[in-house]
Amino acid sequence: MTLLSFLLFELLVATLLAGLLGYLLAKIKGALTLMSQILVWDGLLLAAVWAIPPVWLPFHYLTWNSWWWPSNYLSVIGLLLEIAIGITPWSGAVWYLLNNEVGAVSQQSSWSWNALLNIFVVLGTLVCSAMAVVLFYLGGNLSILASGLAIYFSGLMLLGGLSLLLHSTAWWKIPALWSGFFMLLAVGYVAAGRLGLYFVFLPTLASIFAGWYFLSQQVLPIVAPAQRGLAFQGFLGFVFGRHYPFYVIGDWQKGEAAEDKVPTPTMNGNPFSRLFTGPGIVLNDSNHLALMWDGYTPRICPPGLGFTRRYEELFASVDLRPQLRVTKVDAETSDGIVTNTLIFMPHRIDQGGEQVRLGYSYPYDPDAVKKAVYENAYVDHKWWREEGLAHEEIRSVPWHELVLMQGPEILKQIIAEYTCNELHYSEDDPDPRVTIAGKFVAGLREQMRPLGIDLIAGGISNITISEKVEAQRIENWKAKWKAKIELEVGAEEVATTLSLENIWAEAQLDVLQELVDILADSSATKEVVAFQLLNALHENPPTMKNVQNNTSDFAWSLLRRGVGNE
Amino acid sequence: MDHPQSLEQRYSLFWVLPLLGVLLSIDTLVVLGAGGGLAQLGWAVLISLLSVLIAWWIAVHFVQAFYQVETSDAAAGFLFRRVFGQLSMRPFIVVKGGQITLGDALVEKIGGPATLIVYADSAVVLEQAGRLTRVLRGPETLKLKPFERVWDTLDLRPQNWPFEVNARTKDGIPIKYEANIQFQLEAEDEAILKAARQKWIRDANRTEPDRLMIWTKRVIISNTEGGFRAILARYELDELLDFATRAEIRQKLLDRLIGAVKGLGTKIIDVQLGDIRLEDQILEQWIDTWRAERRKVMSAEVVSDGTAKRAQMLEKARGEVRGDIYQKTRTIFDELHDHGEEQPEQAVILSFIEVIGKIAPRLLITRPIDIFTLTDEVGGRIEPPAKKTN
Repeated sequence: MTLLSFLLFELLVATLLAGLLGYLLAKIKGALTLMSQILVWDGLLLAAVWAIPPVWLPFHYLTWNSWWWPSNYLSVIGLLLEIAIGITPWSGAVWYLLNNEVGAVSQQSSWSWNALLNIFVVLGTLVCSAMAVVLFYLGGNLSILASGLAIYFSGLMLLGGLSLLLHSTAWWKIPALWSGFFMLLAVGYVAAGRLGLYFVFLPTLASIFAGWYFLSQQVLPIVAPAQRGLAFQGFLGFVFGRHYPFYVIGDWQKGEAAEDKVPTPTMNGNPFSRLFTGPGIVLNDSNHLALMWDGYTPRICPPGLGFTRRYEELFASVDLRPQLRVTKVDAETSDGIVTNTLIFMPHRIDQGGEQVRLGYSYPYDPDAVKKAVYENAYVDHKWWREEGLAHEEIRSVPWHELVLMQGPEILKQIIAEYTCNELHYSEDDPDPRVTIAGKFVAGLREQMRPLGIDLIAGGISNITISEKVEAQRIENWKAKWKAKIELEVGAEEVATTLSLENIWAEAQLDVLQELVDILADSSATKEVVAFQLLNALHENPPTMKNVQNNTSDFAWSLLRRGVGNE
Repeated sequence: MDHPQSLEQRYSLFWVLPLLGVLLSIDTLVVLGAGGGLAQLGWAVLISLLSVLIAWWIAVHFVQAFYQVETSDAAAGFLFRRVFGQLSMRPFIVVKGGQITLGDALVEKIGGPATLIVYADSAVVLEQAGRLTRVLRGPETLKLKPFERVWDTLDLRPQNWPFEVNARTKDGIPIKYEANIQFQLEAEDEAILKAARQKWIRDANRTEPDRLMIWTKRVIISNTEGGFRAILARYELDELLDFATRAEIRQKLLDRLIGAVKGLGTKIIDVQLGDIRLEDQILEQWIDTWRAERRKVMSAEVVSDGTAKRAQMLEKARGEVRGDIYQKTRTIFDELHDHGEEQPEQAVILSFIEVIGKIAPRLLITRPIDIFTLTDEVGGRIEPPAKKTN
């Protein structure tokens, strides 16, 4: 068997291996893609070498079953061919994996695009082989070690530059992997020559990929078979430093992140990278979902593990738990009194009639998510003039603040139907606050339903009015009690008077009785009786206060001063 | 549904080591078959082991970066447990008093494999891979499955929460009324899940734990405050100040809360009402009213016990004095008569004039000038009576 025949055999084995790898990645479609790549490009490589006349490239000096070849340019070329054939199934598989979504219905990339890395491998092999031949004919006899080092450093610089050029998330990873790959190759050859390449280098390389696949399944909470391939893709993207952003989303919007619109990725990535890039990973807890957006359409990454595609950015992270928003509303009554009320609006994304249950994530209606979060993503403008200059602030309104846009207006309309007095009590409605709250909740629920938002409850605080009105209410209440006090005082006076009048009456009756007794047993003249009568009139009743103790002198003095003559 | 704890993880010990053995055996055979020596074999084994370690190291690095784990040791520990299972009780987390009080931050963040210890006073709801998995009531110690973590913790102890409600009475008077609510989570899995899912999330810029309106706050702030306010709004202030109304309000609040908190998986143990707090001017008015009532009572006591008796004694004394005066007057008039003097008529006239002069200003009687002239004339002609000399 000649070396070329052996290389053809190797090509056949590589094709079968590529078919197996392709099948594991994307069933028949993947197998056909990778097998055809190997057959075409490795076949072209072999054909090119075969086409060179033996005079120029005497391969017959190399025997296929010799594990240690002499260190010359022919061996370098032979080894390069064997290595190229050996690694193209793996490079083709990795390239395919990082340019197509596993499990997708159709192949996203063209055949030639999927074969791009292997084309570079084949071209690189040809170039290196040609350089080795040229160097030989120029008088240099390149050793395996020297050519290996030259290829390693050339590759290191090329891949390092390429990694920087492509804005990899960790530019050093691809050069580092190249170094590891080359070390493995070198050690394999050093340990057992060509046999080492077949049975040390390639099995170890396969073990590494198998290990990565296995570990990729362990580091992420995979729950569906379809996620396995994507998890491996994401992990490989991480290995090569080329992936879309990774997110772990829990109860993130708090503290320093309170004002953030979306959570910060745990690992940055470029969602617009087209070349050799793994998917993004989104790990939501059971009450969050991520809404991704590629500029055209939104897509939901549900609670749990999800993966993002090319061009997809995180549009919003949606907390499916009830959100409570509160705001103060100044509203005017129909008689022009300004009221102030706190409104409470607990709401959530419409659950589509589902309840939270064990074994499931928080329920949600996908259409409601898109309506609330994507279709009603308002932009809020704040624009004002100051000292002749216009200022503007623009911010996007998240879905959980939409109630703050709608709620106040609804309450204002309801309050406007009431007069100030009716806000607290009326004959028709003994509890107007509850009625107003009911109207408010019903109105807001009606408004929010088309937006995909379910208002689960709602309420209002006390309806407070200006201090003057409250003070007047208190005065009204006080007036009632003041009247009661007046009544109490009057009653007290009446009781006192009644009590004392009885005493006076009794006393006078006693005096009268005494006088009658005196008159009965004596001979009082008319003058005595008249004098006594006048004397009695002379005295003040006990309840009146005397202005003069000596009434007789006072009367005389009045008469003498001529009071009443003016 | 596939499960995170897959077969390859469950039996990892049975295949990882043999596979490594196969790989190294192949190395040995290949190197020896190719005529290599121990040095070559060493290189081959080294590179194989190194490759496995690098694959492992990259996975550890992934865990550390993806889950934002602080140290690579912690990430390596997680990966080891994930691949080979949990070999001891560690790591663990302890849930006590309705919250995680002790444990590994990594377990909180990523989840199992780990040990979960739940004290008797607590309950937890677990989640795994974006799904709620289990409800646990303490006391319980169990192994968390891979990526299974605590989603929520709840306090099973009875709660006592005095809460002052700002309300408006039916007549619009602002008042503050304290209600003391005693409540507790029902000891059933369904009730615990209800309470956990009723958590409301408030504005993100609020501080913790104010941002989260958990079941205890829902009982008080959502139900007690609103319900109590609605009940108070049906009463006028005067009715609320009536002590008899208090029991009625308490019963209404109790009935209302029992119905309202069922959806929270909670039971109401008792409701007590505290004091009503009123604004200062209302209090002042209330004190004025109270004073008026007390004054009335006091006045009644004073009049019946003191003033009346005093007046009675006084009048009695006056009566005695009048009687005495009458006797003396009669005696004087009798003596005058006995001596043949005719002065009594003049004394009567003078007394009459004196009485008229005294009561006229008080009764606002305007005496015509001729009457004054007449009285002055009469007064000038008549000598005033001599002062009595006994």
